[in-house]
Amino acid sequence: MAEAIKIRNLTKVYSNFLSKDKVLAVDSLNLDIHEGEIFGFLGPNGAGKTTTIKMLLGLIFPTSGEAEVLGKPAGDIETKRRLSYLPESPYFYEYMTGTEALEFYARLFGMGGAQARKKADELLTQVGLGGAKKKSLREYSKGMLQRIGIAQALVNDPSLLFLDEPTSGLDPIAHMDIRDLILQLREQGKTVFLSSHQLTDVEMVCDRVSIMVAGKLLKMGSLDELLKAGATEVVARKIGKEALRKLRSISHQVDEADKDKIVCLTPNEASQQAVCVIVESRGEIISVTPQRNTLEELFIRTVREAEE
Amino acid sequence: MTILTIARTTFGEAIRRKVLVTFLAVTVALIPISLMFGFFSYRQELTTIKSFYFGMIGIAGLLIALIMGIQLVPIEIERRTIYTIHSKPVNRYEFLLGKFLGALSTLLLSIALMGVAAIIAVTMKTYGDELSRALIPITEPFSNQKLHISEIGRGIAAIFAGLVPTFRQLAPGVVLIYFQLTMVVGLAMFFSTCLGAWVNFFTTSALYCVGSLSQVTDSLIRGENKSLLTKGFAYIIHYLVPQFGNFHVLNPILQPHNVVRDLDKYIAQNVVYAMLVCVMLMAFGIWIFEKKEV
Ligand SMILES: Nc1ncnc2c1ncn2[C@@H]1O[C@H](COP(=O)(O)OP(=O)(O)OP(=O)(O)O)[C@@H](O)[C@H]1O
Ligand SMILES: [Mg+2]
Repeated sequence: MAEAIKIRNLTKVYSNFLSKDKVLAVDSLNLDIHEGEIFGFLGPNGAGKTTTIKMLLGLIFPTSGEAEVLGKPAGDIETKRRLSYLPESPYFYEYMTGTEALEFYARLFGMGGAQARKKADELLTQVGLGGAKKKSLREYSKGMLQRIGIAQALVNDPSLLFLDEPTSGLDPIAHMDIRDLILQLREQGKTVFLSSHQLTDVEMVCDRVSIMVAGKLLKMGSLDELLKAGATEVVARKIGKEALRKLRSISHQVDEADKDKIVCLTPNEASQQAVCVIVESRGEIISVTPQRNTLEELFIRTVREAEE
Repeated sequence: MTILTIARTTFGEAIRRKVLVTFLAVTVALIPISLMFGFFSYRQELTTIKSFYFGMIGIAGLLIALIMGIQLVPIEIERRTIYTIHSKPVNRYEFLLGKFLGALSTLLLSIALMGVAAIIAVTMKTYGDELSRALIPITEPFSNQKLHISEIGRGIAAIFAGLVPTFRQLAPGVVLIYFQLTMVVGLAMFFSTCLGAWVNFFTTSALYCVGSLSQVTDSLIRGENKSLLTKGFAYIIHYLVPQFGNFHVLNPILQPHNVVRDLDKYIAQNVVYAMLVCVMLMAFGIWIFEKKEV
């Protein structure tokens, strides 16, 4: 699979020549993002996510290491025609109206007056701001500005999108719209580099995720890999005493939910055996479910472990 | 194309800023008002009035030039509006040049408005006698003179006819002020890529003052009986700091002894000089800005 982004030993140290303290914001990061995937870039506040994105866009420069974006060194101007960036809490020229702002961004891609205006109108409708396009951005609410941010990230129909907390400040409906938008982008074969604190969203849309803590990448992989727990849940009915004893000996835990029903949690290797025991004793199997951690659990565990 | 888009946006934002608009409106209004309130005695030398207006336009323009040069680029970084711009195919140099051109057009509009006000005011002062005599029946109701429409018409015609010679008199000075201030914008914008706002303000202002003495440094360099050290020092200042002083030449009070023989040539030379200085300042500014983290 082709790589949309290749990051090699990328390191960023923020230093300030007035004070001596230095911040190691990103520490020897290695990461490949495949073309066409939705990549969740997670980490607690101050982990270095925004710093990484800014380096990939050439807004700031790495202290060492290198990065390639769409086959060109990070910051390449021509590549910027094919990518887009939604900054965290984006800022715009407040005196402009919604239409003017998007027209301005369209012009930066070389679109002429009529074309730019048409594009602006289209996008405003798409992000649900059709009714507010003549208002100046000064009068927009936080969520409305966020929508302008999303609209400007779609201006050039990019093949790679960097979205830094795209749903912050959005109401539940808009939130859902963004989730759908991202899924739509995946269907169109676009690559999305998504930094977010909304773990349920990430779980729903991302193909792979990584967790960064204090500049270091601690976890990386597909959601299936990362969230796979070592256990399977078996729910059954009509279990005799003998079978129950056997199940207890091979499971982590057996709960008698009510008189009739039991829920047992077995290690994955033993799940087959548990099923056999139940079937042999003429019990009735209700469900067999491989357990999955939630992303939230994984996130919290990873951050806690790193802190220790 | 991109440069023009940025420039247009910069200009659009500037002329919508209440501070700038108010400041300009007040200054432009003050120009004719200063005449009405007898700022100058009735038959005061025209040269004084000319100098006063040049000074006024120069100082107001200097403020506008300084503020724009100092603020335009850093404010984009501070407001983080630059993120959405530089993540699009916009080169650093295009951004900086766009901002510079935007500032120059705003400055042009400001200076032009003040210049036009000054030209109108001076014309009224110089060629307004006929009209004010015709209007006596209105201004002094108890004089028993009669109002003659034809006299009023002739008075107005005199003023219109006076616009052209007044324009010829004032325009060269105004043009020089504009080009002098383009260098101020360039200097402040260059420093804004590497200095904080206040340091920039003091540095640019100091350089403006030093550069305004370019006639002095020039005579020091030419002077026969000056020490080598003095000459060397004057030489460095004269060629390192933009020669703002050359642009004050047409102000008869600041530069009483200067007589420019060939005015057109003098203006052309200085305009070219100002453009060269701007090009150099922008080249250095771009060089720094390309490496700046935003
Ligand atoms: N311009 C800067 N100068 C100095 N230090 C900075 C600068 N920007 C960020 N940092 C520091 O770098 C580290 C990483 O910051 P970054 O903004 O990349 O975090 P983040 O992962 O995006 O966090 P959040 O989830 O809060 O957005 C933090 O310790 C931050 O204080
Ligand atoms: Mg961030």
